[in-house]
Amino acid sequence: MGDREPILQVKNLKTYFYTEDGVVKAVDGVSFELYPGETLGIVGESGSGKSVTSLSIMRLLDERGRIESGEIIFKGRDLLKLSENEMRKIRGNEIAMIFQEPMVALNPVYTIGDQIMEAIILHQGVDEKKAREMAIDLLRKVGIPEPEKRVDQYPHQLSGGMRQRAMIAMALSCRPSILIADEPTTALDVTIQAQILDLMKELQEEYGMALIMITHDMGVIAEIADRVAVMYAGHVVEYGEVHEIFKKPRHPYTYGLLSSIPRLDVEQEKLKSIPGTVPDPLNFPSGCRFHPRCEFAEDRCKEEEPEMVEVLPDHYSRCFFWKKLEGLEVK
Amino acid sequence: MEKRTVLKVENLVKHFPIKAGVFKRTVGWVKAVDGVSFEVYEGETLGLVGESGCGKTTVGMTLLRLYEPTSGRIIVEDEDTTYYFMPMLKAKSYIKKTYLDRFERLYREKKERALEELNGVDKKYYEMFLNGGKSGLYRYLISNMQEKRKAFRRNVQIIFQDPYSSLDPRMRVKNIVAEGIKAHGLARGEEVVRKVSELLSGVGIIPEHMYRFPHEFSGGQRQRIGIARALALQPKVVIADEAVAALDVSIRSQIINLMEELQERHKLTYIFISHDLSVVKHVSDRIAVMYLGKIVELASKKELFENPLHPYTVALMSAIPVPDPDKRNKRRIILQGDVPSPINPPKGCRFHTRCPVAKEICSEKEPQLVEVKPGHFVSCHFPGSLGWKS
Repeated sequence: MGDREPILQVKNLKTYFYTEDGVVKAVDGVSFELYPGETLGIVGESGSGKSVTSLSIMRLLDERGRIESGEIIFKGRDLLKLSENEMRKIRGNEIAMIFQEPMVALNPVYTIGDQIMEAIILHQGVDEKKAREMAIDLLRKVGIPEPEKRVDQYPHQLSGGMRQRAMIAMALSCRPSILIADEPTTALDVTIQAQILDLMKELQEEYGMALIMITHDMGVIAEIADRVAVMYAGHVVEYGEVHEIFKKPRHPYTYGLLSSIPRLDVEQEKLKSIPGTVPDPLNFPSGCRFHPRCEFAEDRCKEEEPEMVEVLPDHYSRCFFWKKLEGLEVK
Repeated sequence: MEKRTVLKVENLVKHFPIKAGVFKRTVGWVKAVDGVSFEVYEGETLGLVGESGCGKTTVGMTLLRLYEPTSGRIIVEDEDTTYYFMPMLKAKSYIKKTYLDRFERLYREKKERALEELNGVDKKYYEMFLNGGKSGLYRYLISNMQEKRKAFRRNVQIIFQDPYSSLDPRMRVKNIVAEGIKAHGLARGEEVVRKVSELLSGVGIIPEHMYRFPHEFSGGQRQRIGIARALALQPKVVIADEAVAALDVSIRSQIINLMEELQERHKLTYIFISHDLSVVKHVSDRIAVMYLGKIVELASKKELFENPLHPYTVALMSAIPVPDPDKRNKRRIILQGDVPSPINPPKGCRFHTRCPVAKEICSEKEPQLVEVKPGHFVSCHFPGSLGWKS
C-alpha cells in the first residue's frame, strides 16, 4: 500500500451525540485510509460506531450529532472545512452512499426514475430527456428487467432486491469515486444477497470506485473486502489486510468474534463466545473498552487506554497484549 | 436406538384469505404453507430453514395453534391435537370426518384386519374404536378439552425472534416467567419465587433481578428471559423462531450455547426455525429446507451437507458468504430473480422459475417429496443434477 496515495483519509475523527441522558461518544478517535479502487470493510456490532463513521464522512448527522474534531481528507481537501454548498457538490456526486433498508431510503411518493434523474440533473446539468435515458441505462446495468417500464414505477412496486438495485443505480448515476455501502444486504435474503454482492463487485471493477463496506457480517467482509477495520465501542480496534485479520487476528475482540460465528465450511463442537454484553455508549468502561469482556485482560487494561500499534507490517491493533494472540488459531 | 416421535405433522396447510372491497370479499389466498409433513424425534433438534416467505414461521405458528391450520394433522405424544383449539362444532365435525366416519367405513370393509394397515395414532384410535365402539372413541376424543388444551400448552412452547416485543414491558420479569406456572397451578406463594429463581439462574440471569422490568436488560439478556419463560412449564418441544436472529454476533453464540446446554439438561426437543443456514447447521440434527410453502429437502445434517440433492439447497449453501477470505473464489451459484409470490405459486415445481437445471417437465408436473435414501427426502424431478463443492 505504501507508495499509493489514499483517496480518502480519516484522521482521529470524533463524533459525539448530545442526548438528554448525556454525551454519546459514538465515534471516538477513528482513523483509516481508503485507496483508489479498493474495498475497505468496516465491521462491528450494533453501537460500535460504524454507521456514524460513514454518516460523518457524508456530513449527514442529525442536529444532536456533532463532529468534535478530526479531519476527513478527500482528494486533498478536508471535508469538514467545506461549506454546506461545496459539500453538496461532493455528496452524491463524488461520494455516494447506499443504505440498509431501501424502502426507507427511497422516497415512496416519487418514481424510481424521478429519484435517479434528480441526481443526474443536479450534478451533470443535462436535460430531462437525456437524464431519463441515462436512468434507464443505469437500471439495465444493475440488472433490473424491463427498465423502460420500471423507470416509471414507485418503490413499493419493486421487491427488496430490486429496490436495492435501484438504490445502487442511483448511487452510481454520477460515477462516484467512492461508494459507501452501509449494510446493503442485511435486509435481503441470502440468495438475493449473493446477487447484490456480485453486482457490486462487478460494477466496482467497471467504474474503478473505492468501496467502503459497512457490515456486521464477517462472511460478507471475507467475500468482498481487501482491507478491514474492526470497530468496537467507538474505536477501531484492529486494522489490516483481510487475510491477516482473518488468519492472524491480533486483537482479542476480533479473535473472539471470528471464533463465535457458526460456520458452514468447518465442523465445530461448541461455539466460543464472548462473555458479557456490548457496552453502553453513554458509559464506556475505563481503560481499554473491551477489558470487561476480554479473556486476556490484566490490571493495566482497566486503567490505561491502549494506543494503536503496528503489530505486523500494515496491521494495527489497539491492545497491550496482542502478543498473547500469537500462535492462536481461529477454529 | 429406537427413535421416539414426539411431534408429527401431516400434510399441514395454512392459507390466508386476501380480503378486498367494501364487503371484504375473499379475492384470493396466500398459500403460506401448502402441504408440509415431518416428524420430530425426542431430544433432537430439527432445523427448518428457508428464505423470507417460505412459510417456516407459519409452520411454527400453526403448530402452536396461534394460527388455526387450514387442513392437515398435528400429532403430539401420540394424540391428535389438531382439533384442540377449534370451536366446538368444528372440532366435532373434524372428529367425525377424520375418525368416526372413516373407521366405520374401514370396519365395514375389513373388520379387524384394517388394523394391519394403520399405524401411529390411527392404529391407536382404531383399537379404541374396536373396543369401545364409535361412542367410546368419540368420548375419549372430545372429553376434557380444557385439560387437553392445557397439556398441549405445557408440552409445546415457543421462543420468539424479537426479545424487545415479545416481553410485556409493563410486567416484572418475575411475573413474565411465573405467568405460566401460576396459570397451570404448578406452584403457589413462595414456591413460585423459588421456581422463578431456579429458572433465571439456569439461563444465566441473576435471580435478584427478577423484580426488574424488561427494559432494564440488554437484548441478549431479554432473550435469556424469553427462554426461561418458555422452559417454565417443562415443555417437551420448544419451537425457536429465529431466536438468535436479532442478536449481535458475540451475543448470538452465547444464546446458541445456552440453548444447547439446556437441551442436554432438560432433554428438550427443538424445532429451530431460521433463515440462517450456518446457525441451523450448527444446532440441528436433521434439517428441512423450505421453499414457497413446501419442504423441498429433508435429511440428517451430515447427509444434507455432504450430499445435497435439491438444486435450491445447493444454491442456498453456495450463496452464504463464508468467513474465510481464502475461500472467496469458490464457484458460486447465483440464482436469478426473486422468490415468486405465494399467492400464485408457479405451476409444477415451485422452484422451476429460478432453477438452473429445470427441464420441461418441471413446469408441468409437481414433484413429490420422496425418500431417496433412508432418511433423506427430496422433492425434485432431477435430484442431484446441480453439483457444488466448496
